[in-house]
Amino acid sequence: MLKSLSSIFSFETLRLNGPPPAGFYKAILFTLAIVTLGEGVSRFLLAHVGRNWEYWTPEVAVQFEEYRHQTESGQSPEVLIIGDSTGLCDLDPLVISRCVPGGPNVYNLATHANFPFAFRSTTLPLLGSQHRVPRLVIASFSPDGFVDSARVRRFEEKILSSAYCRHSSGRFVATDYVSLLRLLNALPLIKSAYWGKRDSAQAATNSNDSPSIAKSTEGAGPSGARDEAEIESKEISSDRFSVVRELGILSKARGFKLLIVVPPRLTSSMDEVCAEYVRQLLQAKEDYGFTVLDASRSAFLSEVNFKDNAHLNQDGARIFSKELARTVVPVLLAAFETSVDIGKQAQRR
Amino acid sequence: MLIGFFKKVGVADALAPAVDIRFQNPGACSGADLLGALYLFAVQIYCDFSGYTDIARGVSKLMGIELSLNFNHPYFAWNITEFWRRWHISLSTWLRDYLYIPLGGNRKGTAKTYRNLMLTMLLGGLWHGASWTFVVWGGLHGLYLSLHKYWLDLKGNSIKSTASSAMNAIVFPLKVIFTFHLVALTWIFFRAKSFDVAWSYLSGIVLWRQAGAADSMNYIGIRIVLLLAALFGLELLQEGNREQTGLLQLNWMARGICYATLILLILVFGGWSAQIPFIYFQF
Repeated sequence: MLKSLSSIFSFETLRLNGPPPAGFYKAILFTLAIVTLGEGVSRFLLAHVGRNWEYWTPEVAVQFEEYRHQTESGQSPEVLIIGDSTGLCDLDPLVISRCVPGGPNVYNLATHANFPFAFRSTTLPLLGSQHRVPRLVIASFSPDGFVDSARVRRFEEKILSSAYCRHSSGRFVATDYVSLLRLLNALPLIKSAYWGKRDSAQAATNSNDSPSIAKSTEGAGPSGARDEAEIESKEISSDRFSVVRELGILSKARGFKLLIVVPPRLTSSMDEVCAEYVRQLLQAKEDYGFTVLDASRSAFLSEVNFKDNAHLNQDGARIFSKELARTVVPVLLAAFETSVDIGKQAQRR
Repeated sequence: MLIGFFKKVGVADALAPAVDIRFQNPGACSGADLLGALYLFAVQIYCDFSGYTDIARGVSKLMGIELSLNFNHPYFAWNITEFWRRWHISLSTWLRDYLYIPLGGNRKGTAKTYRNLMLTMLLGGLWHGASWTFVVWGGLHGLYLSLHKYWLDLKGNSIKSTASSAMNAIVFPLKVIFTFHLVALTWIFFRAKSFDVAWSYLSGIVLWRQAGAADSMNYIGIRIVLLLAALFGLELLQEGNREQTGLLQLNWMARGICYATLILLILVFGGWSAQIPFIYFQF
C-alpha cells in the first residue's frame, strides 16, 4: 500500500483485487438480459411510430411524414407551401385551396425556424428527383433568416442536429440503433399510435385539409416569432442566400413554378435587411425565372392582423392567403399548364 | 462506475436545463418555482461532482488503484460539521490540514478558533473563483460552522455525542432536513452568475413571489420523480457503509435488477443528449 504525504492526493495503490464477489457473472448476465428485454419492448413500442422519432418535434414529424406518404402514393399536392414560420403562420392552405378556381390540393410544409441552412436539409431533398413535385411551390422566408447571426444559427442547430437531418446527409450514430434512447422523445407518438391520444400540438398539425395551420402556431413556441425577429447583424449572408438559388435551380430542373413571397411585417428596424433581401431576390429571379411577391408592406393588412412584428395572426393569414389566391396563384398555375402544353408539343415534334 | 454514470448522465444532466433557466432569469419565476429549482440544483451539483468522483474511482479500481472516498452521502448529514466531513472530502481535508491547522486550529483560544474557521471557509470559497458570490458562499459556511461550534461549546457536548443523540427517530430526520436547507441556501450564491442574480433568486423565495412568467414547477414530471426516487433509494442502500459497497452485498439477482434499473434509467430518462460538461471543470 502506498500513501502520498498530501491528503488531497492520498490513495492506496496497487491493491489488486482477488476474485470478483459471489454471483458477479450471474448478476452481469441477468443485467444484460433485462436491458435486452427493455430494448426489445421499446422496439415493439416504436414499431408503429415509424420514422417520426427522427424529427425535431412531433408536429413536424406528422407534417413531413404525411407529405412523404402523399408523394409516395402518387397523390402529391398541386400547390406546396414551404419555408420558415412565416410560411407556416401567414399562409392558410385551406383558404388558398378554396379561393383558387378548381380548388387545388394545397399542403403546407413550412415549419418554425426552418431557416436557409435547415431548409436545405429538411425541405430541398423533398423536391428532388426521388419525389413527385407539385405544380406550384410557394416559398416564404423571413429576411432575418438570411442574416448569419448566433440566434439564427442556434435555431437552425436544433433542426440540423435531428436524426432526420443527420440521416438525410448519410450520418448515423450509435443512438440511431438503440431504441431505448429515443423512447422518451417518442412517448407522445407512442401514446398516439397505441391509445389514440393526440397531444394538442400534434392534433393541430398540418394536413392539406387543416382548417388553418396558423391556428396551431398562434402561441409561437420557443423557436417562434419574437426570437426569430431579434437578430444582431443586418447583412444578408451570401452562403444563406445560395439556398434560394438552389431552389431556383430545382424549380427549373423539375419543372415546377416557384413563387417566393417576402412576408408581411410590421417592424421597421429590419427594413435594410428586407430591402437587401428583395433586391437580391429580384436579381436572382432573372437567372432562375421564379416569381417574387414583395408583401412586406401590404396595404390590405393593418396592425390588428399581426400577432407580432414578423407573423400574421389567424385573421391576417386568411386575408393574405385570399389575396394571394385571387391574384398570383391562378396565374402561375395557368402558366404551369401552358409550359406543360408547350413541352408536350415540343416532344411530339 | 455505473453509479457515477447514473448520477452524472442520468440525474445531473437531466436536471440541468430546468435549473439553468431559473438561474438565468430568477426575476421571471415564482417563489415556489425558484425553491423547487434550488432543491434540484442541490441534487444536480451533488450528482455532477460525486458522479465524477465515482466514475474516476471506478475507472481507477479497474486498473487496481483504490482512490480515496470524496463524497459520503453528504445530504444525510445531521449538522454542518458532519456535512463537511462528507462533502468533497479531499478539499475539506486539504483545507483542514493546510489552512485551518497551520492557522492554529482550535488550540489558540475560542476567538481565534472562530477566526480560523471563517478564514478557512472564506479561502475555500475563493478557491472556487474570484467572485463575491463564492466569498459569500464560503462566508456562510464559515458562519454555520462557527455557530455550530458555539452551540456545541454552549451545550458542552462533543460532536460525537451529538451524533449519537441525533439517532432519535423524530429529531434525526428534522436535523438532516434542516442541515440540507442551510446548505441549499448557500448554493444560491454558488450557482448565481452575479450577486444581483443571487439576490433576485433569494428575494423571490423569501418574499414568495407569486407572479412568474415561467410555468411554475412545470419541470416536475414522472421523469424527474423517477430519477430522484432511484437516487434516494441508491443513497439509502449505500449509506452506512464506508466503502459504499451496499450494492455489492445484495444477492446476484437483486444486484442484476439494480444494475439494469440504473442502465435503463440512464438510457430512457437521462440527459445524455445534452452533453453537459462537469460543473467542477470550471474550477
